[in-house]
Amino acid sequence: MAGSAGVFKKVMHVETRLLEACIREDRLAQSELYRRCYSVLMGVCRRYIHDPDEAVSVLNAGFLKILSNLRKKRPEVPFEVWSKKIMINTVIDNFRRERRHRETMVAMESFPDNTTSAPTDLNEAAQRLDAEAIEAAIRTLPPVSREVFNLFAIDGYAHSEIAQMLGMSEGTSKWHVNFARTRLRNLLAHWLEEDRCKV
Amino acid sequence: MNTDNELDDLLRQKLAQREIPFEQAHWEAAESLIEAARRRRRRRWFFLPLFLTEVVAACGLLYWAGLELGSADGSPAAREWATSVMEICPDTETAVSQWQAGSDSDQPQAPDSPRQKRTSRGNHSAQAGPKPQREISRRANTAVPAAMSQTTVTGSEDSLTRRILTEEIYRQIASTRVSLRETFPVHTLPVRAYVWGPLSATHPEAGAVGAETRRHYLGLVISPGLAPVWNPSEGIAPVGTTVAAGLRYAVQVTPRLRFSTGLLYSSRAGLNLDTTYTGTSFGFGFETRSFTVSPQRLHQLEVPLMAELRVYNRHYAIAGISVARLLDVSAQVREQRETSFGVQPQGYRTAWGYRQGFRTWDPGMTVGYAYYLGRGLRVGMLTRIGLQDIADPAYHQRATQTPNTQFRLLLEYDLIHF
Repeated sequence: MAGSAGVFKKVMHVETRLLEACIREDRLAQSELYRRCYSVLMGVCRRYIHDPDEAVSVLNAGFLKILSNLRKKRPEVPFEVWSKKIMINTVIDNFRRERRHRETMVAMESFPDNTTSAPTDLNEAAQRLDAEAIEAAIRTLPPVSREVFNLFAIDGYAHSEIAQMLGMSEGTSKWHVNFARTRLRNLLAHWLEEDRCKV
Repeated sequence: MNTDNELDDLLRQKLAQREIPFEQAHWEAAESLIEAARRRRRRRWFFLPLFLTEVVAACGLLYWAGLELGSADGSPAAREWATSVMEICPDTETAVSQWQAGSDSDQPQAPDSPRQKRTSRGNHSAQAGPKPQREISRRANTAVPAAMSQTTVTGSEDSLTRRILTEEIYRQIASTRVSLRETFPVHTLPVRAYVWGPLSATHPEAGAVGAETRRHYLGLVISPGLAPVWNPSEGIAPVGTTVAAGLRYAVQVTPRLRFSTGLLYSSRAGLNLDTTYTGTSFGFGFETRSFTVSPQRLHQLEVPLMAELRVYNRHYAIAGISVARLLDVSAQVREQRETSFGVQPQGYRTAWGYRQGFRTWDPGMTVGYAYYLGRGLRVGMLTRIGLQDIADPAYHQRATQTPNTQFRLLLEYDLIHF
């Protein structure tokens, strides 16, 4: 995985004592761990999954995996990295299970012309668009492109890893990232234009 | 490329700042999931000993069945038979009494209870009918010289003749008593051991794309099918029926590969192998009883060991070995009496305990195909190829001379997973 941007980010504060209590199946400790992980892990799920209910369901399935595999966690691996990795794997598993259904939906979607990319002022976008808008923009992407773009651009996986995880070629993975970027640029440009008109 | 990286950085930065407020309802949903997982884990520890107990019990029953079959000569059925022979042969009884009175310690032993019972009743010879003198003489002419050449005996020729005839009667009793085990309780074995209803209804998407590895499945399997008859002849259907049913355990070692085993009760009809036993007894005239025994159904306990490879999506190729242990053979017995008045058919009955005409172990290979329907249900077809002729206990034929193949449908249902 490549590194992520060195900016302000929410951090999961989880002590070893809390994890040990979770291993002992202490329900209060498990509740506390869920509360502390919620924002980060839910953020991962919401980025990948369009349907909020499905996102909750996958979050809970991933959390259950985290709890049942806590004993196997190596102490040198930070809990946040480890838990995010498990959550992403859970999301990918879910994606693979639902692939056929999703592909049907993709075929029914109508895509706008994406051959040209509109010029977007990223500084302006950074100032005027909040995180929710960015997340909403990512969720408008077609499922496969969204998965690939999230894995590559946000979570820092390499194309070869993505190709292996999703059962596609590296070229296809690159195409999806390029397609997603172009579409996001167009969308952000469109939103900024609308915002300017309102002002 | 730089603008691409800038866009990615912008998105990462914005998403990293996103705070999602905690919702208690989501934790409650997670809590119920955790509780369900804990219950499943507990169930695993509940079922594992139960499964092991069943395997041990089945082995014990098999061992017990072997002991019972070995000691069946002294069974109540055999004694009843001896008694019935005595009742219809008063002269034989006289012969037995006289033989007992003058017998040496090295005389062949008759079943205890009828002998003691009959001798304690007193003298019945006064009510006895005329002796079959001509038949006795005929027998004596062949048996006496042979016996006298081998042993040193004392007494008159008449007593020696009676003694030899008595011995012959007991030999006949011994040879026919195997056909009279209808009261033998082996038929209760498979039913008692394998009744196990559905205990849980958790059905994972077993074997589906992306399924986890190292999962264990416990379920039921039933396999009805067809098998060529052993001894095809005119007027006999060329195929018989077969059915196997029981418990199945599978472990998924990789997303594509599973190993499975189980404990199946299997039953196979279409044997078409007749054996005739003949008994001789004496009444008012010389009487012959013959039993034509037609083995009808093999009852086996089968332990398969299979590899199941997911070839594509929900399609599985199956291959493996299996060993079947013969529990018992049920047969149709046709009895016939032949007296000086002619032949009198005595009708048919179903009896158990004819496994002495078959091999005890039946190793085989199994190949097949299965399709996973979902919700723990799998259907398919299997071919079990027996590696030897189970109807040849003397091992003097090649397996290829008699077909020992079964074509089975396959229905599997995973009850639980852990």
